[in-house]
Order: sequence, then structure tokens, then C-alpha cells
Amino acid sequence: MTSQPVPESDPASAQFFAALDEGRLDLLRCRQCGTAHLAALVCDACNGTVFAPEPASGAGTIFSFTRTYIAHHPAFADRLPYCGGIVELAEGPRLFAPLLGDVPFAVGAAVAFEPQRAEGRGIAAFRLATSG
Amino acid sequence: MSARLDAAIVGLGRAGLTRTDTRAAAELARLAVIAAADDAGVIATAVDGLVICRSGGATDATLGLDLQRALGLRDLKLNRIALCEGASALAAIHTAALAVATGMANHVACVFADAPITPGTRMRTAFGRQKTGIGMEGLRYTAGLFGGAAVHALSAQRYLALHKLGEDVLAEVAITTRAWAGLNPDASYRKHLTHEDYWAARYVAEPLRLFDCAAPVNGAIAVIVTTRNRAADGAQPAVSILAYAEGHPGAPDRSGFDRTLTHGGAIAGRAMFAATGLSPADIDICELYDAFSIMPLLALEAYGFHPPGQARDAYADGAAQPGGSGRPINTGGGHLSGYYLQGMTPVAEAVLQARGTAGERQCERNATILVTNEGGRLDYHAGMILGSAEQWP
Ligand SMILES: [Zn+2]
Repeated sequence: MTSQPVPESDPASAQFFAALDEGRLDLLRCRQCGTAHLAALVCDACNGTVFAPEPASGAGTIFSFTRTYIAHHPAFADRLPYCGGIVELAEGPRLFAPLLGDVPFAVGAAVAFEPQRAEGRGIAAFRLATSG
Repeated sequence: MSARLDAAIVGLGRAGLTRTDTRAAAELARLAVIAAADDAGVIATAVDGLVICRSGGATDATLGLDLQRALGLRDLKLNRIALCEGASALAAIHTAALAVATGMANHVACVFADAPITPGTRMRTAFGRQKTGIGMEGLRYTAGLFGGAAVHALSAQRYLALHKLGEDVLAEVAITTRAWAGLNPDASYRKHLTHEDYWAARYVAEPLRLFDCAAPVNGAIAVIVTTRNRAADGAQPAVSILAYAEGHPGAPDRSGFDRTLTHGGAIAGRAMFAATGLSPADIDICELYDAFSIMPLLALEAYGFHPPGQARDAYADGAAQPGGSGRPINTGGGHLSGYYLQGMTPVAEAVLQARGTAGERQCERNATILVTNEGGRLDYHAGMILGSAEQWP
């Protein structure tokens, strides 16, 4: 079975992917203005260049999502239809992420980080947060 | 108001435009340039400038600067590639307009060609090839979001949720566009599209169904740009370039911004309306980039035709259809039912409408035509207002 593709890191995202490969979802907090980023060399809010890594809460909401019915990659062929989307973390940054579970998703629904692994690499997936 | 560039579109050439054409993109491009020169009434060797539109989405990378040699063109004064993803066509035409207006070249050909369909290609995978990607943007593939449909579905899903709208908003776009395609012999899909047909079609990526996605073809379109003086002596009625502007929002991927819905048309529209003294009410026809049905809705709102969430009014009760009560939109069938040649699709239709040679689908009022081009996932935008030279000499 083919694993789903995981991107190579670039300089801005090196810290993010290194942490994710160890199962952690980390933020980069701008030391100057406090804006949270997932990947940054320069803060686009204040031009600051010093960041402190910190663990993300793992809580977020669905910014948008789609249920896809066509597998463009063999890794998705046996899980059709599947959901992917954009998750907005409670701390502010957004990322593309797989949405797990055969459940109805909605824009604005609360989700929680669920680490996954594929061929030694970490994946930041999310699942609907259980209420209460 | 600012001075208009001394430039006009005088030739339009097409090659292929079918799903069964087997010629390579470079050959289709060559034929389209020759056809455009012929249409303009100039011999092909009179072309002294070439601008080739390039997009990361176009599959045949063999179309390059050596198109010059394939065309047998000597002593070119301009030869370059315009690379602005789906906005490349208007960017290329603007480069050509600057070149002729400044005397750098006299007849500049702009061409886009693509041949995504090879024997054995399944239509639905023509633009969704496997990728892994780099950095945060590459996570789209980890999330299973391959191809343009998946990322534009995210815009559509959020748009409908934010404005509490149903998928019928998208259906009206698809149905209106198909009604125009029925009057265009070059369109891929011309059969009347009923609401039943629309709802019976499968989803590609929710909320986008089959009829919300562009019709891929193998083909090429070229235009010839020259000065207004030369244009007046051309074989065809000239098409005036009234304004051009780009808008690239660069919205960050974090709270407080919305990269799925922020549309560069707001920036480009402000600039073009200020430059011309026109307002949305003065636009007779819209030729909007519609690779996915959500795109014209967002463009109409960004340009100020409708407040956010209300662009559906443009399509209500068939208003934008042939003979409708509103402003005609995508009168050749657009990408959805016509053919997907990126930014050149709306350009070609605008040229025919401005000339008054669009046949059965010719609109009565054609003085001002808005053309839009979109690239990336609403990252890159270009707009142009074209007009009939009769009314804008
Ligand atoms: Zn900062």
C-alpha cells in the first residue's frame, strides 16, 4: 500500500516538519509581536525574525473542507470518499490537513489534532472534537 | 482617469479546441499564431514580437521561446514567456500592449496552448497529477487535495457556509453558462442542461459537481496586438484595450484573513474603474474566468457588481442567460461548457463580442467588456476592460 504524500520541508517549515515527524504539533511564536505561525522566517505581521517554538494546543476549527470522490493518488484509492480541508488552530495559524472519520463535517466545527505516521514521516490529521 | 495605452487587439486565431486533437501544444500554438495573423490581415512574418503564456497547470512544457523558429520568424524585437499561472493570458496581452505602445514592436502575438488529454487519459484526472510538494503548501497533497477542483471546492464550501447559501447557487452558474454554450459552435458541451441533469451529476469535490468544473480540451488561442492607428487599417474591427490591472492579495494563512475568498478583483477593479472613469454599471458584458463555478461569483462580488454573498442575483431567473434581463456573463460557454484554455478562453469570447461577430450569441450592447483571469487558488488575478473600437476609437 502506498502512503499518502508528505512534503519535504523548506527553510521556513523545517522546524514544523521536524516536530511533526516526532509526533508533535509545534508553533513558532514571534518574539516581537506574539503572532503564532506554523512556518516562518520573517513574521508577516511585524517583520520580526526571532521565534520561539511552543507546542500547539491541538485544538482547532474547520475553516473549510471538501469530500473528494476521485483518488488522484494511490494512497487514497481505498478510502474514497475522503475528507480534507483547512484547519484553523486555536492559536490562529491554518494548515491543510486530512479530516478523519466518516462523519458529517461543517465549516466552524471543532476538531482536535491526531498525529499519524506514513513511512517514518509525521502527519497532522484532525478529527471532530468530542463534545463535553 | 489616466491615459489609455495605444494598443488594440486585431487578430484572433484558434487551433484544436477539442478533446480528441492529438497534436502537441507547440504545434497547436504555431497554428494559432498563423491563424491570428491571417485573421488580422497581416502575413505571419510581420509578427515581430511573441509572448507565450505559461502556467504551472499547463501540462506540455515543450512550448517555449523556440516557437519563433517553428514559425520561421526572424529578427523578433520581443520574445518572452508570461508566467502568472491562470492570469498569464491577460498579463501577456498587457506586455504586448506596452511593447507596441512604446514602439518596441509593431505586431505582437500572444499565445496559450495546452494538450492535457492524451489517448488513455481519463478526463477527470487530466489536471490532477500526482504531486508531493514542498513546505506548508505541500500539505494539500497530504490532505488529499489534488487538482484545482479540490482547492476551489474549499472556497465554494466556505462561501456557501458563510453566506448560508445552498448548492443551487452553483447550479445557476453552470446552467446559465451552458445556455450560452448552446449558441457557440466551438463549445465542448452544448446540450441543454436541466436542473435535474445538474443534481444527478456526481460530486468531484463537494460542493463542486461535474458541471461545476471546466471542460478540458487540447488547443491553442493566439491574439495579435498592435497600435490603434495600425488597427484601424486591419482586416477585422479592432478591439480597444481600455484598462488593465492586476491584484494579488497575498492573504496570510491565519485567523483575521481569508485566503479562500479574498479575491484580487477588488484591487484590479478599483484600479481599472479609476483609470477609465467607468463603474460596474457601465460594463455591458462579463467574460469571467470560470474553471470552477464558484469563481465568477467571487469575481462579481470583488469587482463590486454585487455585495458579498449576493452574486447569485446576477443569475437569478436566467438574468445572465441569452435574452435575460441582466448582464450577459460568459457568453461563449466559458470554461465550464466551452473549453478550458485558461486565461485565453474569456479573451477570445470578448474579442468576438467586441467585434460584433459572435453569431447567434452576439450581445446587443458590447461597448465595454470585463475580462478576468485567475491563477493559483485565487492567489493571482488580472483584469482587462475591452471595448469595441467603434465606440472607443
Ligand atoms: Zn511578529
